[in-house]
Amino acid sequence: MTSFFLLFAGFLASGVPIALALGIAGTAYLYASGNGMMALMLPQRMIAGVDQFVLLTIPLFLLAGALMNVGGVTDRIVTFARAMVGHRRGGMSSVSILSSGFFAGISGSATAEASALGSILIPSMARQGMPPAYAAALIAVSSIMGPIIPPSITMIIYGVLSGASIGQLFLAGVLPGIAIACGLLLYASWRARRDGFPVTDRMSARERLVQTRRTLPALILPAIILVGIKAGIFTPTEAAAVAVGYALIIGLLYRDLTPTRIWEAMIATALVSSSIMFITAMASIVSFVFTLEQVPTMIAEGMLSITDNPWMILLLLNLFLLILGMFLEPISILILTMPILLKFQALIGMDPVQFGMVVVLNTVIGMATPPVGILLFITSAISGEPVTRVIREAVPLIAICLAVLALVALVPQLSLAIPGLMQ
Amino acid sequence: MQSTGRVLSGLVRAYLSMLRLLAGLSMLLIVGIMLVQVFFRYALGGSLIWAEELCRYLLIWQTFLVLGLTYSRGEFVALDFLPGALNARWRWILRAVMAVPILGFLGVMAWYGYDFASRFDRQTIPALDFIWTAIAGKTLGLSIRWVYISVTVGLGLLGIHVIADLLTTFRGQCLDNRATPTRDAVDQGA
Repeated sequence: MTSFFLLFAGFLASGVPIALALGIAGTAYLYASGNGMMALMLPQRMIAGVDQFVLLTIPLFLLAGALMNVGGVTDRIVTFARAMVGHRRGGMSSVSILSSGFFAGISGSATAEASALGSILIPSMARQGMPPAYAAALIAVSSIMGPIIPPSITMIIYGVLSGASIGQLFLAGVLPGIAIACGLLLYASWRARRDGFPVTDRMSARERLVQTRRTLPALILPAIILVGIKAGIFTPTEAAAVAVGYALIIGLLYRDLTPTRIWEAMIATALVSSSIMFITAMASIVSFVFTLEQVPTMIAEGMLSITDNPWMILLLLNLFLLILGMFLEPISILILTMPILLKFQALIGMDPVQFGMVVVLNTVIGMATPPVGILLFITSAISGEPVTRVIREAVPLIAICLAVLALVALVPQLSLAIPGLMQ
Repeated sequence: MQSTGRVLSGLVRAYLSMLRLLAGLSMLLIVGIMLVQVFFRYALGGSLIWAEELCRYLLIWQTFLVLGLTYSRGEFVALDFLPGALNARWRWILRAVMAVPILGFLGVMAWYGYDFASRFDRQTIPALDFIWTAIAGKTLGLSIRWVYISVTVGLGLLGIHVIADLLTTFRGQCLDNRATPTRDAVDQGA
């Protein structure tokens, strides 16, 4: 197993894409352990990893987000957030965090959120005199809310793999998402006071009302999805299709969507979706190899040999996931570790929904931590700042997310209160 | 010589625009079928029994078919610690060296994928049979092999893209050692 990780890390450091590094290291490990003829089964594992109805939510939610973006919804959300908090201390940085929170209700993907909001907000924060590296770090970490506030592609995958209710998981994300937003807002306003960042002009009450009305259709979408799935009206896949239909309708109502834009959004979405699904397929290969070699049992026994205290196990599990999250993106982590995760969930005796929330939050925070912090890469590319400087600015922001993670792990109500209310 | 080059670049352009067409079309079909499915279930009270299956197959084809294009546009997530520390020539050489295990892996998987797909020669696609019966009155009899072969086609195309990227950057990066280590053309596509 060590040989697998060394090989994987070597490929990764040499610039081989994560998906291919997974596939090659997994296959090489299979041959090295004398099970080479099993490689015949790998194409079947690849197809099985992709051939799941619920995975259609990935291209569909991505497309809904892309359509909202080209359909002018992103701009409206930003203007709306400016009307609400732009004039308060924190100025555009608070506007960015609030926009991320609203955008998260439309998009189920952190990377989509970082690139859509980053391209608008990082330049406008920089124009207001904030350091571009700070603006980039803020957008990168705020984008974590994308898969925490429903809808969420990561939670759908967790639900499919673990059997936990996707509707419950979605609802469980609401409070932790708000907690992250509040934490980031507090930091942003402290930082704005320390460094004297300017605020934007205060809008009149009338103007605010206009902005609210303009943005309302976009803000209703998460409610439609949540109520639809929770009430059993649609399956998650159908909800994703409905989200696309809704995005089309409001884009056409706003008159910002043209057939060319829709078509281009479809092509771009197919490409992004393909790169995600390929990681899923490659992670399925590695998962097959791991199961064959009984790696999950080995890791579980290794952890249990250190301690059998549930709290210590929970802590170890969190550290384990955070470290994995530094190298892998959420979907492959979930595919690779689900057998171990389910074992530990039974052992700790935590509610499946709360446990899912802890795991998802863990893996998603990993998207903003180096060395493989895709969100940091995206925003640093937009801002033109070196990744290292963005990382330095991101450290306190990530600490805030880790504090929320600790709260979610320790306080069941934070994830279970809202699903409980809706029952 | 020059005309061969022109034919070649024409072919590449045709291939790329076809790939884009198929990418957009697969997305359009998935969205269309799913929306019609929702409409049928809630407005008309009947469900399309073939919709789910067909969408899954579209997703499989979409995933594997456009991998090459996705790779060339730099949308695969990768780290550039080691490559970033090298100059253009050594970066190209590192990429060429790394292409060996990549191509080996893709070749083996494409081959096994073909082998796997051919085992399903006799199994037909129920969804298409169902639709075709409704249209033409008889089953289509299209083998499910044509879904599974997507792995071979997709990984094969990905391999070709890996080679093509190396060849097209050879002159600019490997021969010109003076070039400062900037992010290469592939990365800029992201």
